[in-house]
Formats: sequence, C-alpha cells, structure tokens
Amino acid sequence: MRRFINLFKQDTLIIIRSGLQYAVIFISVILIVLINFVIPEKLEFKNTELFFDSTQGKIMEPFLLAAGVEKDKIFSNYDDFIKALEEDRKSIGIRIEGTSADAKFTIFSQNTESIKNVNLEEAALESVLENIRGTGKKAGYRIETLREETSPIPFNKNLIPVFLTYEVVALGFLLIAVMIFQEKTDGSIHAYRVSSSGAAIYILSKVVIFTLMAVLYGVVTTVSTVGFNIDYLNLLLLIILASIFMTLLGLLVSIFFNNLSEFLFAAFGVLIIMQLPTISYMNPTFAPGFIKWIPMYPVLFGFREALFSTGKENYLFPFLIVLIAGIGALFALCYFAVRKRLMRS
Amino acid sequence: MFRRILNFFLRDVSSFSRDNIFILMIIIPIVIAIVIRFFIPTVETSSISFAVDSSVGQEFTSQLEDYGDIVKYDSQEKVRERVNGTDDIIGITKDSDGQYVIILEGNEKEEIEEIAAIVLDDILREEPIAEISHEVVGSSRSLFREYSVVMVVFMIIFIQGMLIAFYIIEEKESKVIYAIAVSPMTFWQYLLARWILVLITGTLLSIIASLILMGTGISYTLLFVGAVFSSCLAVVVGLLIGGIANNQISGIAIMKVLNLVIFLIPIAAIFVHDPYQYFFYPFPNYWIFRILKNIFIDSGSTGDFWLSCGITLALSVIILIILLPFLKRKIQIK
Repeated sequence: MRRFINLFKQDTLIIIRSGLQYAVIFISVILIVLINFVIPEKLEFKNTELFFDSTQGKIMEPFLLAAGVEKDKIFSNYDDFIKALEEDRKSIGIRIEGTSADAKFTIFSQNTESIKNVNLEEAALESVLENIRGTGKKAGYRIETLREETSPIPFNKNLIPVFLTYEVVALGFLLIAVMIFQEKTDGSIHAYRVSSSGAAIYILSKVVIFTLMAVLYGVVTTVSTVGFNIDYLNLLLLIILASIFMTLLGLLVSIFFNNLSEFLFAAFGVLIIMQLPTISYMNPTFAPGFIKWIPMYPVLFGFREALFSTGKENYLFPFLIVLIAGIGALFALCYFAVRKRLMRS
Repeated sequence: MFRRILNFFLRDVSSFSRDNIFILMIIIPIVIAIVIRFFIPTVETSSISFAVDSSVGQEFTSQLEDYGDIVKYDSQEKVRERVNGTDDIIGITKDSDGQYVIILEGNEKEEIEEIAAIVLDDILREEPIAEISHEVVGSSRSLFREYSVVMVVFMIIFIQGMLIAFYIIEEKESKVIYAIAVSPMTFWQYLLARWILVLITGTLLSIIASLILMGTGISYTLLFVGAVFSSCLAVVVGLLIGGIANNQISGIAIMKVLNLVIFLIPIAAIFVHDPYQYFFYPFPNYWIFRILKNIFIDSGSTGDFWLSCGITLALSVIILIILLPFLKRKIQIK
C-alpha cells in the first residue's frame, strides 16, 4: 500500500506540474458557459419544407399559413421554387395542383432521400389533407406507452452526456499514454524498473489518478449544468467504471507505440470510431448493430438515463457487469503488456 | 539558406521514417476514411424501425416495410422488451379485440408518436385520398457525406500541426533545440522547414482521404490550394503548442484546450444559420472550414474560396506576428 501511495503522490505531482488541471478547469468552465448560456434549449434539424401552390385561386396558401408555414416558403413561381430546392439541399418541396376535393401533389425530394422516407412524406401529406378536409381519422389503433411519457430533454442539456462520455470519461485514454511516453523520454521508467513496486501498482496508480480527475471533472460540470436532482449514484458508477475502462484501453494501445507522435494517429483513429454512437444518440431511431457494440453507445445512453430519468429500472446494471468484466480483461492484458514491454529493458 | 531548410526538412523526414510516423500517417487516415465510407450509406438510407409480432399478420408487415425497417418477434412480450431497449423503435402488435396497438417507451421524441400514427392511418386507409407523385431534384451527393469529408480533411490538416508540436517538445526535452539554436538556422527558416513538412503531409493525406470518400467528384486543384493555405494555420498552432509546452503532458493539456476552439467552431458553423455566421469571422479555423465547404459542399464553386484562402492566410500571419516574440523566446531560435 505504501508503495502505491508513494507512486500515486509522485504521479499526481507530475500531473500538477504539467498544468493539466488548468486545462481541465478551463474546458469545464467553457462547456458550462456554453451549455447554460450559449447553446439554445430548442434546436431542430428538420428538413425545410418548400411549397408551390398552383391550385386555382391558390386555395392551399391560407391553410399552409395557418399551419405555421412561413410566407417565404410558399412560392408562386415554379422556377423560383425549383431554384430554392436546388439551393437548399436540406429541403423537400411539395407542389399542389387541382382543387381541395381533387388535389394532386408532387413531392420533390433530394436525390439522396431513401424511398421509405419518401413514402413517409406521402403518408404525412395525406394525413394533412385529411385534416384540411375535416374528414378525420378512423383510428383503428390505440397508443400505449411502457412508462409515463417524459418531457423532451432541452437540446443544450441533451449535450451533457456527450460531453461526459467524450471529454470526462475519455480523459484518461490520451493522458495515460502521454504519461508513459513522458516517463520513457525523461528516463523515470528506468528508475521504476529497478524498484520493487511492480507492474500492477504502476498501472493502478495512473488509473486511480485519471479516474479521480474524471469524477471531479464530471461532477463539477454536472452540478453546474443540471443541479443536484439526478441519479448521482449511477452517474458516479458510470463515470468511474467507464473512465477506468478507457484509461486501461489507452494504456494498452500506447504500449505498442514508440512515442507520442506515433500514438496520436492511432488515438485519433480509436477516438473517431468511439464517437460514432453520437449519431445514434442524437437520433435514437438510427441504431445499426455495429454501433451498439461500440462501448460508448451504452455509456452515452446510461448518462442520459442517469441525468434525465425516464423511470427505467435496473437500466445500468447489465452494462455495468459487462464493463467490470471488460475492465478485468483489459487489466490482465495491460499487466502482461506492461511487464513485457515497459518493465524490461 | 535553401540548403539549410532542405536539410532540416530531410532530417524531419528521416525522423518520421524511423518512428514509423509515415506508415501510421498514411494507414490511420485511410482506415478512418474507409470506416466512414462504409458507415455513410447506413446513415443515408436510415429510416425508422418497427418491432412487430405475428399477431399483425404477413400482409400488414409487408405494408409496414414500405415505411421502415422491420424486426419480427414471436410474442407481444418480446416486442415490449425490444421497445424498452436503448434505441427508439416503434412496437406494433394487435390486442385480443383485434385492435392494433402502437407500443412506445415514453421517452421518444414527440414526432415518433406522430410518425407511428401517420403510418398506421395510411395503411388502414382503404383508398388513397389524393394523387401523389414523386420527383427527384438536386444533387445525388448527401450533405452527411460532404460534411464528414470536410471534418476528416479538417482534422488531417490540424493533426499535422499537432505532430509538429510534439516534435518541438521532443527537441526541447532531448536538448536538440540547443543544437539548432547555435546553428546558423534562423527562426524563419525553422518555421519554413516545418511548414513544408505540414504542407506535404497534410495535402497528401487530404487528397488520399478525399479520394476514398468522394472519388473524383471534386476539384483536386482547389483541394491542393486549400490545403496550402490551411497548412499555414496548422503550423502556427503546432509552433504555439510546441512553444508553450515544456513536456509532453503539458503539450497534451494545451492541445486539449486549443482543440476545443479548433474543432468546436466548424461543428457549430454547420448548425448555425447563415445570418449568425459572422460570429465566427474572427476565427481563422472558421475560414478553413469555409475553404473546405467550397470544395466539398458547394460543388467546387469558387464562391468565396479565394476570399476564405486570403483571410486564412492573413489571420494566420497576424497571429504569428503577435506570437513571434513569445515563440522566439520559448523555442529559443533567433
């Protein structure tokens, strides 16, 4: 234990001398300001809908305006309509012809839109038309929710899990590698080799430092953005375990590189792949199988549930078990790799 | 003078080769580009998903398939279990009275419920209520693909700067910097040698990544020119990190802070509406984003390409001039 404490003190001193804590505080303050004051609560990424009402007497225009369509999105000239569609590649266009009793619609979609989404647009259009005609729905179905419906998470607050995952939890991934390369450069690893402390204490000391940093970093940012009324127990468990996992992963990857410059390329590659689940997080209907296998996928959604509970019971337990098993396997791999590649000259 | 720069450049090249940097430099962006290339179609063709059980019948299931992906289960219980999973999926079953039941988790976005109702209305409607046709306009390239390649190239350019930063830190730690300081090499020659390195590697890798992600559908002449101008800022960032940091840990700390500004601005610029883009004007990395946007998104139109190149260069030079006394003192080359 004394050996561990001594090495821990030494590693902490190295971190403090490097000024890393100032960088962490600075980034945390920036993110708190961005989330609380800059990023809006509501931000929609919907396609722009453009209309060309070519019905006689423009009978659809009042309905469209009443439905909240902005005046400048309704065109009276076909060429202007097509030009606007081509200029705004996030747009879809709807041309309306005929009369309200005999309406004809043409949906103009961008070339990249899937046929299933075009079918959805057609269905939505028919639904709108039904409402306009006042024919109403013949509901042959009912809607059931598994739990009480929750209010939508504000856009700015919804970004906190992303920050916790890729900034707080991933902190140790890069830093443990940097610390090891630093020790290689300044020769302190040679001194450690001749000491009696061993590989396990060497790994543990670093893992504990970066996990503690992650906990402090995560808690301060969470308290400053969402306050105290959240599931802190699960939040802390997730920060601790996911941070240990990422730190060990960083250690394992870094051992196979000679210096930081080499490692940086691999690290950016790993981090980019780890960031793919963000797309699913921002759009939860998109969840292909391979994304679910990336460890950051359950971490992201775990943070979301801890911060903005939907009443899901035991939501984190199965994943935490997997994470603990992953940590065990990674620790064993790191132990053998450190002994083989770092503890021998 | 040129010989000195060339020798220094060749020294870096030899150092890169010794450290396997060249191999990694080529392999990693190619791997990233290939992963993204395979990933993009999945995003482009993504649609909503439905979990159904056998109670809804084969005909209904095949009708549902026109609107989204279908996952079939044996029982209503399994459908509920699936809906309760992490992602958003709409469950559809039939109850004992023969009525369709849309099962939702309760935490979905509002539009998911609307979509589910619209789809069921459409399927259950016996006759179409209007004549609807479909036409395709615009480009066949997706914005997701184009913004992905913009961000990949943007990242490649700045990684070169960071690589330079860690080489400077290594030179400081190994005291090689003192040997350079007492040599006839001036600060400007040192900067030029490093810039040539960033320029060559950055341009080459940007072209490779673009070829993988976009094929031949963009102007590689503009990409080359854009990479030349963008590399000016990357080398300034590299000098700044390398200048301030005394060791690799502090180098990473500074890199983390700078990366926040470097990468957050183009990401924010993607989502911020045009009238508010002026907020980003003082940031040189925003103009690199504009350069890449001209190349990859605006179909190679030279709209404000040259203006963006000019502003990137001007802002990079201004930052360099402001930092010059500090950098000379820190890197210790006159």
